[in-house]
Amino acid sequence: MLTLLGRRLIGALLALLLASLIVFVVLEVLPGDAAQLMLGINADPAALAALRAELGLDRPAPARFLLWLAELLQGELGRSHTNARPVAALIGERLGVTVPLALFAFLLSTNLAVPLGFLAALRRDRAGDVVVMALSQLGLAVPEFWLGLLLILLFAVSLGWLPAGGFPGWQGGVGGALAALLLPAVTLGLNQAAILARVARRAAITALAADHVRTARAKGLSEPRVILGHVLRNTLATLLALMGLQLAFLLAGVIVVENLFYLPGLGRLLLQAVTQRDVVVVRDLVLLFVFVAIALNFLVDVLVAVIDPRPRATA
Amino acid sequence: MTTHRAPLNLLLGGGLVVLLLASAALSLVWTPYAYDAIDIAARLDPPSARHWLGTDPFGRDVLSRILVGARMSIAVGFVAVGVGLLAGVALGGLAAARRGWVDELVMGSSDVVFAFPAILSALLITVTLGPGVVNAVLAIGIFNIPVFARVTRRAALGIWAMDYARAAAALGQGGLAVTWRHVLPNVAPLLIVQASVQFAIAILAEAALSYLGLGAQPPIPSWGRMLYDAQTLLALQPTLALFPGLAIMLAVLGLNLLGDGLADRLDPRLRAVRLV
Repeated sequence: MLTLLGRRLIGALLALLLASLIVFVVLEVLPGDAAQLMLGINADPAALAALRAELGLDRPAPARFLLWLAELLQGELGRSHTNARPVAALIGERLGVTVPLALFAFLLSTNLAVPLGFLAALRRDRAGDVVVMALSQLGLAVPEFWLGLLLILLFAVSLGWLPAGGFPGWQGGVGGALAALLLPAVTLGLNQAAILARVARRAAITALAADHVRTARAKGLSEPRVILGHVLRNTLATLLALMGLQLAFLLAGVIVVENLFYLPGLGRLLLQAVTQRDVVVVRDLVLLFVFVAIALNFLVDVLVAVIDPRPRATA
Repeated sequence: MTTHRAPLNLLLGGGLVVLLLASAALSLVWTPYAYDAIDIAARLDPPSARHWLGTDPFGRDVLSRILVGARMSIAVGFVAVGVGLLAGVALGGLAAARRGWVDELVMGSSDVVFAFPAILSALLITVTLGPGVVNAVLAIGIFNIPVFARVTRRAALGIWAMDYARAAAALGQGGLAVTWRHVLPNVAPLLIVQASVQFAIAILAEAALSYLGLGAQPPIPSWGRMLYDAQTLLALQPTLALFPGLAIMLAVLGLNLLGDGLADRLDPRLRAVRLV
């Protein structure tokens, strides 16, 4: 078990290293360099030279990569070119939107999809199953930004129940903030819920067919106890593993959803930085997204190993 | 999966995919109006007999633009799936044939690429090369590589464990020969199913990127971009936001159903890997 965790940890660290190398190389192969990119083609040569020195572009690429890594290890991020503020501060201000949004979406989709998937498994091939699976097919096919537009149209424009976008901040009260995050969270969570429901159904069907479930029923356990104690427990590892893999997509979905609803979060910051060609912000933010995805995946791996200690087939 | 639903999946999915291909093909020879024909007098018209799906703020015919937009979705899907299929099958086949450190390397790198969803790599590429449909295709295609590599590897490992593959190897056939003669033909059905699913995902990703302004640039019609343009006019002309989204949904639904239906038809045990 410990060796497995050790291997996973080393794997995660290697993945982080490789990911930072990819980000560095992609930004390195730009035509011109970062300074040229930020200041434009007609930039003043003196300003260009100054920015190059500030960004350390006068040093060779491998040295810059190592320097960047060393700074990252000390928790130091770069400084935005457009407003001269540290990227860490920009990120800090926006975490209060993105983290609650992602958690909200995750909670909504999990609480909707897992029970529905189980219901479909228990009603296999009957009406309930067919309806749940048809809904999941639709959920897979709906582009999230389109769903967001339709929700805005219905709940904001027509009914006026919820805001069409923007974020009032948490200091104005939890209710208003949550109301502003409700439509975005539904939008963000839908695709994930559709996949999760399918996987939950399949896992539950497999678990329901197991001998120990038959034994549990035969010895007269109530159906809820069979489901919670025997079926859910045996599907947990499968479901968690999937959720871990999906987290990276949930984070990427934040980019679309925050722009759709004008939420001042990390995703909107990233897209703005891309349009303003603020290379330092893009570099650090992309790496943050990737780091979080890899780190959460590692944690899920650990959790799965704890729940289901049987060594997993390397699939 | 139950067998009685399989034909329905296949029929509905196949029908929608044919509709998608036919729309794109039709747009090459005929559209109700030219997709970029501006008619200010008819701007923001609701659906009518003249303009079946209405017009946009420049008075351009929405139906014509949706038909032409199908070409973009199909082109992006084909290239992105093609890139992923070619590179992914090669890498996955190699990993299964060689095992050991080659396998570890391929699987380890694919884990890293998995942490870069298409939108993230597209943003990264865009900041260096500027927005454009080629970058979008590149980002989506790169992400498809580890998907196909994993699917191929897992299935290929199963074939390599079979007696006939082991016998061929024992008779002195090299890894490449066994992969070509025995592994690939057996993995092919799974790859077809997966390709159908990845095609659907590519269409969704292209639409999302175009919506963010990172895909096809105006005036080339793309469904995602049409939705972006519709957003500011949501209260004024809501049908503008309706039809392009419906087109995306039907295309994706068709490809997903086709994939499921093919999986049931070819081998009931087949199951596409799906994360998005």
